[in-house]
Amino acid sequence: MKGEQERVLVERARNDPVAFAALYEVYVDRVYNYIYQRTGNRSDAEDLTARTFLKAFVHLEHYVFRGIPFSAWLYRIAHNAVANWYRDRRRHQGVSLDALVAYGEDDEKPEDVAQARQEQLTLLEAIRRLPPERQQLLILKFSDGLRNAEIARIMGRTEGAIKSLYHRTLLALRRELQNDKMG
Amino acid sequence: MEHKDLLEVLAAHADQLGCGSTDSAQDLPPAEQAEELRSLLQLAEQVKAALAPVGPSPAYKRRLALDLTEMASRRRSGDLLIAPHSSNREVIIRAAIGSAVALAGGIVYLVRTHMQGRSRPIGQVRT
Repeated sequence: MKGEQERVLVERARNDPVAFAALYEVYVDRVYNYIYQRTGNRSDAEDLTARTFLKAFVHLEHYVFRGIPFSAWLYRIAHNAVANWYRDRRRHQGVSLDALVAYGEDDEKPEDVAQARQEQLTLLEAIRRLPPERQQLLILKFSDGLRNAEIARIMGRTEGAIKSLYHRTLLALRRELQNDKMG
Repeated sequence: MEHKDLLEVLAAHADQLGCGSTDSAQDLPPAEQAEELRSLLQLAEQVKAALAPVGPSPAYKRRLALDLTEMASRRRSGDLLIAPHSSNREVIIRAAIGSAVALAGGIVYLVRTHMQGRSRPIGQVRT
């Protein structure tokens, strides 16, 4: 969605609370996906998505455009909701099977399918052991398909810093996977 | 390869993946296809595959949309007042109290209707 369209929707929602529904429709899938990738299960993703939109609805009057898109503001609310969730529960969620991309729909052998599933499970677990901001970067880049410029706005960094963080994140992830293999 | 160039190659590759391209390092100059770089590019592709987007169920989306719309309607009509610094919990509690009051009213109405029906004179009771 272009910045100007987003601005119009936000202004409408400020003047008429019922118009918030339009913003919800535009962003609910992205917010849900982001939270799901961080938590790894549907139940918590649903709960935290509801909290995120409730908070956005209540605090919309405090949102000031100033170059930060509404989507970035919404992602920050979602990010904080997940951070609080981890802090409250003091746990790192295991990866549920429904997080795995479907394999075996073609003519693959069952043992190959099982191995592919296990490799993906190991990778997802390694991703969830990364620091929150690195997880956020990978999800925004690969799951939401955002460009570095947009990720930089959401995370409050420069584009160069995002490129650098991405490199460090891949290196850290590779180390995690190597440790898994050795351990 | 310079560190800065490495960052650029990785960023460009990630953008390619975002567009659905799976050409790996094919477009890169041969000199840059070192083992180290190859390994990172492959890992990026695996991460992309593992983090396939997941959407909410249609039923959940509808339910949350209805909840938000109802809350917005009540806010517009002045039934739902949100103090500037009220927390989510306060809003939820207020909404719950409102719902409980409405439910209690319904129950009282049903009980009274039932009691009135039972206390009618025998001549008014249909047979």
